[in-house]
Amino acid sequence: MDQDKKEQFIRKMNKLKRLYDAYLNDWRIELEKSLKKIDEWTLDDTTNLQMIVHKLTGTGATYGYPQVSDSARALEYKLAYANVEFKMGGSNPNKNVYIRSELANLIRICNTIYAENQVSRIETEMFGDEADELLGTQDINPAHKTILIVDDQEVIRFTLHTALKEAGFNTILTNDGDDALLIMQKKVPDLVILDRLMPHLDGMTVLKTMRKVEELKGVPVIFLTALYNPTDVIEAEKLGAVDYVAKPFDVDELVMRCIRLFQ
Amino acid sequence: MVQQLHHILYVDDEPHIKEVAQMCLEMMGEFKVTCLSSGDELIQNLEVINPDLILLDVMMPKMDGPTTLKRLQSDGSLTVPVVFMTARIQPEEIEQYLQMGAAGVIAKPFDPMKLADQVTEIWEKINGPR
Repeated sequence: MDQDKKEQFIRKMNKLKRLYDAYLNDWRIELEKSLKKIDEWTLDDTTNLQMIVHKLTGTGATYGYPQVSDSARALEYKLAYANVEFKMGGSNPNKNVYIRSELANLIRICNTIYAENQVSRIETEMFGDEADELLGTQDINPAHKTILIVDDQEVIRFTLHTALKEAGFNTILTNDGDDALLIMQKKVPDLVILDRLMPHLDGMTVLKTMRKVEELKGVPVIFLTALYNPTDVIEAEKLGAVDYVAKPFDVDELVMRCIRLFQ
Repeated sequence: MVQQLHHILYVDDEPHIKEVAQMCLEMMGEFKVTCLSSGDELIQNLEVINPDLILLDVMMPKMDGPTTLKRLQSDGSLTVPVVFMTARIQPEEIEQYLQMGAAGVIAKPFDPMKLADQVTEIWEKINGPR
């Protein structure tokens, strides 16, 4: 193949890959929904899951994601056997621990790919309008330090928001890791308070993504978590998290930590 | 005279894979490629399209690849080789496809850089050099 044709091929392939990435994200969301309602799976749910997983097996590696195909294939075979049994009156595939863990693993892989694609979205600023929209409702005083609060629990967001505002900080609130990355594309915060466990993009993936983006590499992060896991603490510290706070926490103490951080 | 491989009919319900396969076969293999989305469409349009070879996905909703192949074989309208494209590639599964009368099996996910060569290789096994 001559050079021109090869370049044309790569350009076209990249264009198709971008389209595929969007579909991969849709499937990722479907997988998450499926895992969330795993205890209520019906036969239709398992059949639908089987179809999505089969698509991921057959397409992932073609678009440069062999880890998707490998993980989906492992899940697909287990799901197929379990589904046949289920149809014949056997136990629901959700009872199968391997299916649960393979599904969680596939979601983790898709989340990582999504986060990595987010890095390029941030770098190319393709989604500027979306970030403007997210930031539009926030009241920011440029004279004060800005803290981004990322937590899917409303009560935590607003408790922290009230306390930090009173202490003289700007706050930006979001309940979602994806949105946090979009917001940081437009407004680099002085500190991020980040929940470890969230639906869609978890805190660790958000932190890892931040460390890959030049502008966000140095932004300090305080982790909040209900699950205090020493391995997690070490990983977070390696990625430059400045603090790791176990839930439930004392709000005043956390505010003091934020104040001390900027002194 | 050795028959030439020029026109490939690709049948798959998955639009992303169909698009990338068409691009690979056209750009890398310089084949003419026609795409369809189901076994039903294939049965209805095979005579008009008149391809040299069919690439047929195994797992499709409504009518899967093997059922489509059986239908074409039983009504006598199949005069060209059919190659299965599939993510189900256990040795016993491949053996089953070949016993059904498939001319070859290409594993999914395929490598975009190699697809045209894989098709050519299967064609040359049946008909000699392209």
